[in-house]
Amino acid sequence: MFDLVWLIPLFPLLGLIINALTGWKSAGVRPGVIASAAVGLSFAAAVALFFELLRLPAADRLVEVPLFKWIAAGALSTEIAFQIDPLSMVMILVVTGVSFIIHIYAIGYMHGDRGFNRFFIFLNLFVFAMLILVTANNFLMMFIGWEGVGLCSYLLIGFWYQDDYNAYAGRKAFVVNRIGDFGFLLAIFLIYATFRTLDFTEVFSQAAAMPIGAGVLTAIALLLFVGAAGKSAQLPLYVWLPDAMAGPTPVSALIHAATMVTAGVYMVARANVIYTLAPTAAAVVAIVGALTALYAATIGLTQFDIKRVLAYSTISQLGYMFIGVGVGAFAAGIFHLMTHAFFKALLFMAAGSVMHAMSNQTDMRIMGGLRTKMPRTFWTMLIGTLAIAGIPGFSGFFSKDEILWQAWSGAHGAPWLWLIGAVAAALTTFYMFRLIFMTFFGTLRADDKTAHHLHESPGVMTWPLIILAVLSLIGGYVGIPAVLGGSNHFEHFLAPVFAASAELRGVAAHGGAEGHATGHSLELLLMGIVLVLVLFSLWLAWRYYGRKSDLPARTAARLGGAYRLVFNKYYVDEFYDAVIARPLHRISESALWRFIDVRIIDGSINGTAALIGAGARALSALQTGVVQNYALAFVFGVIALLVYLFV
Amino acid sequence: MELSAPLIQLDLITPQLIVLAAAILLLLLPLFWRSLRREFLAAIALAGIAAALAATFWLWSRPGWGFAGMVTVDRFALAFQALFLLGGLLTVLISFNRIEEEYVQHGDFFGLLLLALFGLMVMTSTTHFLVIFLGLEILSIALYVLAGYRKMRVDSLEAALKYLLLGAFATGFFLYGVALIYGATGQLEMAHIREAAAAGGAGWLLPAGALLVLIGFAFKAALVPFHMWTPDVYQGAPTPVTAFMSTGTKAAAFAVLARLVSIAVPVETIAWGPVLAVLAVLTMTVGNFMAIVQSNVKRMLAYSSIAHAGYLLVALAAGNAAGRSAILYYLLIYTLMNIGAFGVIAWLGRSGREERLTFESYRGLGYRYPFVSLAMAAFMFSLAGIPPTGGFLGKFFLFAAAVRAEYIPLVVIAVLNAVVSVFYYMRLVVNLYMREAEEPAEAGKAHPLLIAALVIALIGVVWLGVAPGGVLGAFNAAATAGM
Repeated sequence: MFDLVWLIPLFPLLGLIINALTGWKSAGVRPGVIASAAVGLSFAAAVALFFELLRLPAADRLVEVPLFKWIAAGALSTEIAFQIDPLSMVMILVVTGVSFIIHIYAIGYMHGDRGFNRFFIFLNLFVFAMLILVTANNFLMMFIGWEGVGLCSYLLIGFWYQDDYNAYAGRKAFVVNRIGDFGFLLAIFLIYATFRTLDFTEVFSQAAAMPIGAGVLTAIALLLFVGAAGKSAQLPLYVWLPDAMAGPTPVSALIHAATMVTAGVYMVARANVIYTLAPTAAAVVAIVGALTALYAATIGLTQFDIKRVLAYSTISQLGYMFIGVGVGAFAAGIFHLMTHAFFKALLFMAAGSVMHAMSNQTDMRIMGGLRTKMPRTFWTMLIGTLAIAGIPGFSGFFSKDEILWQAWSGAHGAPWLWLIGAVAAALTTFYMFRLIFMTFFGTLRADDKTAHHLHESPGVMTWPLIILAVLSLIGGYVGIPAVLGGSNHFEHFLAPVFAASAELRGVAAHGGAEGHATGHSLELLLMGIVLVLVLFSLWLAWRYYGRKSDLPARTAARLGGAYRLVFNKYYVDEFYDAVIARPLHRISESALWRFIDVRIIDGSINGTAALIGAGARALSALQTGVVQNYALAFVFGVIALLVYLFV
Repeated sequence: MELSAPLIQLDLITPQLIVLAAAILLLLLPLFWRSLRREFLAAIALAGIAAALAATFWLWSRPGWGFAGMVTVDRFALAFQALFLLGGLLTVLISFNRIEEEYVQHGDFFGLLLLALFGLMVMTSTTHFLVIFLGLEILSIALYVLAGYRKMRVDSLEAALKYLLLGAFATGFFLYGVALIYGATGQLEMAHIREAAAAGGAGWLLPAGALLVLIGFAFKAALVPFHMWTPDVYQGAPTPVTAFMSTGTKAAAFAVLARLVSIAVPVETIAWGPVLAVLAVLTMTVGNFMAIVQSNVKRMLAYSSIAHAGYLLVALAAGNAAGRSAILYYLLIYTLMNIGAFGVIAWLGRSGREERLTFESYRGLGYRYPFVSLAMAAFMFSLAGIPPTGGFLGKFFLFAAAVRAEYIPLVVIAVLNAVVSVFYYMRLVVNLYMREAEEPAEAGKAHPLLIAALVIALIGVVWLGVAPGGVLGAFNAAATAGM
């Protein structure tokens, strides 16, 4: 069964090949159905694999399936091989499962688009690359997937490339990601230079023998995190994600919320041994995560574009995940990754459903009162919001609470990390309910034409919402913490992957009973505080946006400059533009392009080409077509060789 | 003097016998049944090739020597046999196109093709110069006929005549060389020649003879300056025949040359390195430069095949087992991508009386015929040596072997040549996808067998570019056999 793991990435690959070869002439939804079926098959295979994995004893749940030897040059030898363990299994299930639902949704959402087939080709390519990323058993193969998803992200953000802004957004995402990829690539070089291998198992077992805080491990960990920060939109490389919303909404849901942007979190969790041995780097991860969580949440408070609010929310939630993996609570980070995949995909797709109804307008200031017009969208989006806000009983509550508790008590945790997280949680609740109230409550503020077209989305779009709503509701129950009487199956499932880290940290896997007892009361207390903060924010959001009031305007006016600073996203884009982009552009244009490229490089290349062309024409004069001449050349060759031999 | 009965081990030549039987069957059957379908005849040819291929794999684990030293079936020979059979298989498949429909009516086309295949196999599964000569002649005579197979067309006849005249010329040099070698050592078997030379007293006759043998095969492999026939013959011959000649014949020539320089007349007798290096530089450079100025795709591929012979020479000059293994790997790739490319040319057919052979006739096909265009683009990328295609890895192995033998300047020249070649390969791809035709070519529905050939070649080209492991392992074993 494990030998067939290659089937999982194969299905989307086949889907895209079929669509690439045949889909372009078929009108209608066939390409979408083929693409969805391909991902559905992957998901079915993944579920089968999951049960197969469960049958193994917990300690043996690491299966490596080599497919073939890929590169063998000198001492470097890299295989294309899959690694199946609880961590990659969770990722495979999330990626294939959520992708499948979003694929189906996209059939409805993209219906009638001129690029319908192209869209599903890219989407399948994305799923393929993402699966390569999460199933790789070495850094190089992971990098292939990493670059693959980056390419797909670029292609899909700029999907409607006829619009200048979309093309710009795609380019921006690509360029910013290159900075991160550069860090990742340097990390790979350094890993190879240090360990002489890129294989996960090998690297981590060798690393485990090194002392804690070894300089080279810290360097590797930091470089890997540069890559993670690029892909997962953390400070200071987050700037591409809000613009990435230019892509079609299913893309935002799939790539820029549920799967690709979490690749960085996965990478840190995968390299947990290295981060455990490099506490400084781990602290950097946690701090960057915390700052990002807070920073992005504040921007989320002020935005009016429904997708942008969700984009900043994604950045903020990714920050949470990095807090988790940064403080050494890898399982908690992955747990939040999973629940976030459910509710954020749901929120985006619900937002897409709203846009669908609102003739593709995204400004919340012209929405309102949609609750009665599109009840399915409203209820599912409300469930997603309750989940992200961390209302008890919803999935987000369990995962967010786990991270916050670990931020306080975890291996590298600290009370102030918890405090930042708690404040960000309160802000999250506020901006999410602001979104709900502005969109679904009050009265519609759109023009008559839009109002006339207003309608609930078709079943092919709402059923995926309902499925994800159910998952957002119950997805957390796999990881009920001990303090609430659960046994945290999720963490136990993942434990073997992080066993080496736990051992290095010198923490016995089960821990002392006494520590738990004192911990429990504190944990409950912190949980209570966060809950109070969240409920207060909810009430505040109702005060500001739930009723008709001039409170928002008054507050904005009172805050004045501070409000404008946040509303304009701290002017970070402008700052980057002025400090990096413009000077770079100026140097590139005047020196690199007009002088070095045009004069020197092009000049020499065109010169060479002209020379080669002239030489070729001279040579072809020898090819006369007369057979006697051919024989003559032959004889000259014979003579030349004999002369060489004997003279 | 004691006489002993010659050792006859027929099992060693099972593949050859199967191919020969199929060839005879194909030549005889149409005499009795006049209206046999082409598909039926092709099925016989394909079945023969498939059976021979199976026999080759069967022999892989039981190599041997027989017929009193006249037949050498080592893994080196078997690897080449498999290569030829693959080439023959693809050639049969791509003869299902609209041009050959008119000409290839009879069994003798496939019969002659299998005879040529038989000649190739005889030629490479021996280390005895007389048997090599036998194989060479069986091959050549079949090819002379095949080159002129479209007997109503002047260019086809011109191709056949030029090939015949110059082929006879080259064979003369080869025979003369063999005679000199025999005169110097009294031997015709390669290992014996080497022993006799090592015993001393061979004088200048042996190197001179070896050089003339080299020249004889330099003609078949189309090395500069013995290449002049290539463009004319490749252009005039029926496209499947060109495909077969450009791959099978070239491969066989390299098999003999590899044995010549590493067994019969090793570097102790002649410093092969500089000779082969100079030939390599000439061959690559002339091939690539000439290909640039061609406007006819078939002619472009003819010069490209000269250039590829130059790349192969780079690894031959290296003179090590890695080089021989790389040559095998590259020839496999080359067989797939080159026959694939010729298959597309054959598929495109003609409009009116004129074959569609110019670059312009490929304009705008990319979106009309996505699969065939994709395949052609992949073959072009592979020929240019761009990853992830096999052409890249193949070139990499060739040049790596030369680097290991410290032929650094030679490799630099080879890499620069590969850069030049990108121009004319990409020119075709640009025409496929980025140029609009005023009146796009109408190629009609492709025959399923031709599509099958393209699928096989395409999968092979990608597979060998991504996962070289298994095949390379087998070729490494072949490269050390009997050397």
